[in-house]
Amino acid sequence: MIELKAIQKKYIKGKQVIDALNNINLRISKGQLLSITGSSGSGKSTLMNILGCIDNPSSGTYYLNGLNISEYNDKELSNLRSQEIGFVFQNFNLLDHLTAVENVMLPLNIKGVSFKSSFNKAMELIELVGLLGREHHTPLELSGGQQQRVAIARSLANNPNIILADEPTGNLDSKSSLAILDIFLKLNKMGKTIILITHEPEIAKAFDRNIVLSDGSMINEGE
Amino acid sequence: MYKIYRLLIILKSSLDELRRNKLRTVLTSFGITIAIAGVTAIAGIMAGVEQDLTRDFQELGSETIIVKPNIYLWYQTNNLSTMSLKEQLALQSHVRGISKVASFSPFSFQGDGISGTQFSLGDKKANGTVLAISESLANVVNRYPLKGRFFKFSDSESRRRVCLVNIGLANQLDISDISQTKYLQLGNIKCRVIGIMPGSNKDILGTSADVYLPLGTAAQLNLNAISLRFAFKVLEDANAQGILKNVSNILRASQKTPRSSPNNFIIQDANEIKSLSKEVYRKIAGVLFLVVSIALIVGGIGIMNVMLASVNERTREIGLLRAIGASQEYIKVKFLVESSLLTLFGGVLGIALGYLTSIVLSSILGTSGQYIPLWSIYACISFSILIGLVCGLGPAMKAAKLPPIDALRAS
Ligand SMILES: Nc1ncnc2c1ncn2[C@@H]1O[C@H](COP(=O)(O)OP(=O)(O)O)[C@@H](O)[C@H]1O
Ligand SMILES: [Mg+2]
Repeated sequence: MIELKAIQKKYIKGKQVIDALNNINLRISKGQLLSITGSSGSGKSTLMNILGCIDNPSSGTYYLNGLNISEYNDKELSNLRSQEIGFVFQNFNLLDHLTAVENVMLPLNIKGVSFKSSFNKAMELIELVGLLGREHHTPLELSGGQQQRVAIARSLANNPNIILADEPTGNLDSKSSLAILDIFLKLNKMGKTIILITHEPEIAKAFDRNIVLSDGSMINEGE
Repeated sequence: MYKIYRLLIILKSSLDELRRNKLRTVLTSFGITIAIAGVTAIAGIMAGVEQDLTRDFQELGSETIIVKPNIYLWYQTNNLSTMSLKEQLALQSHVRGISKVASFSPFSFQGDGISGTQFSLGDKKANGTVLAISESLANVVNRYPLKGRFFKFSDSESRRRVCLVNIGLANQLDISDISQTKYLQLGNIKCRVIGIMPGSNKDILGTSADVYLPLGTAAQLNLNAISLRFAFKVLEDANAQGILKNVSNILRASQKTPRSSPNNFIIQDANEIKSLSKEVYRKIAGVLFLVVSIALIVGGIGIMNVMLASVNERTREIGLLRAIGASQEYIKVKFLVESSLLTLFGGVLGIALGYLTSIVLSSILGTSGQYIPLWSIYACISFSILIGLVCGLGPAMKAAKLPPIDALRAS
């Protein structure tokens, strides 16, 4: 369902050109559990942001569900992010002034879903990630692991097929990390395509497929 | 449907945003509040003034003519007009097409016709103006006693110590009930109160005062204080110009004014005074509105500043919203709604403040005008929103154009 063809990303800083991604060709089928590893600065986040349509490649084409989305305008891309993609970040990116359930409702608010149905949907997801009873707490009243659960619930609000997680356990202790990983495995069983960046080899081993980036190139693909 | 919900949700979240930063909201919109309060107060006072003018002139009727000394000439040549009963008789007998000529004169015990007079009744005291009037004034200016009776010819003729009291002063001195005989002390004499007069004690024609005395009585008390003014109605509207020309000629002849000298009197008709005073008020209001517009612009710049700061502060939030599906347009609308809510809030507060100000000011100025015209409320509200939209546009565009990843990466 995802196909990247000859994706390149260059950053130009003054006279210096940084090749963040070099000729990336990648197919990811529906329902895959994919991990991306590589040393820091190897281009993992850049690849993830391009996959998530919040960044544009310098060249190359991106097909999603058979459609060339490289030519989409802002509105179409926003729609796509809203419908097809859920983001989970290393630093959670929750809004501190909103409660857990309000954070989960955000993507539905943006879409214009009525308060009642977005609240109900958000509560379902709060339950799914095991935070029932904590829905009216603000992020500051939750532990890191709990905040990441809220963020995962938020990524699921629009029922997207693809979940993108950029080092989701990077800020968590090992116990919380395992719990979060469990949730991703559960989501994969429910049919979601999971693409997850990690530093930890054990996590990568537990996944269907692992790709390794080095200096902006894919150097190995262990099936 | 989704669109409407989306807007409602944006509205709600913007309200939450403003509520969360209450102090900032109030301080930020303060400039708009002050400016709108200014507009509202001016509009309120203007409406009151217009109302007063209209009422005064309805009472008078547009055909009423006032003749008074040319005060400007007096300043220039120290030659005060000496219109007297002689001129009154001359007008009455030689000018055709006018009503009975009434005469009146501002009166003071000091003899300058300007100083205020002390009134007292029992232990109650007040200060105010006195007008000496002929018994025919009531019919000319259409103003009759609310209680009691107006002066008769005989009151003046036999210099009776009687007076009429304006309702405002009557209330102050507690003499609105005149069923029992009451004597008002004014200056060094006592006069029996025979009636209560309606209306405000200030009108631009100078035909009203706090207390009225019969002309004859006043003349006996201080003849020097009497310099007559005349009031009459033009009965043949069609020939008004000719009649006024005639009045002028007769007055000049009677006072033996040399051919080369200007009139030492002024002839005013009600319409002329009305439009003149309206124009003066409009010019004052125009200047005030200009000052207020500058305040409004300054207020708007304040809003723009704070919105820009808010965009910088919330860069990450913007990035997140973009990542989870918000389009550029959504971000733009969100910030526009926020800034226009901010100015709307300032505007509504300003209308309330302006209303209070106009009540206080109109009572100080002595105009009626305790209400704010509806058009000014509509105008203030739409203008507040407009300023929010205009001043919020720059910051909103800036927010919308932020690249999502850069915004997400901001600390
Ligand atoms: N906005 C940017 N401007 C310039 N260089 C960037 C920018 N973002 C990333 N890079 C560079 O691109 C390379 C890849 O970065 P990134 O994708 O964040 O790596 P990773 O997530 O694997 O640590 C790095 O060399 C980084 O310095
Ligand atoms: Mg990274």
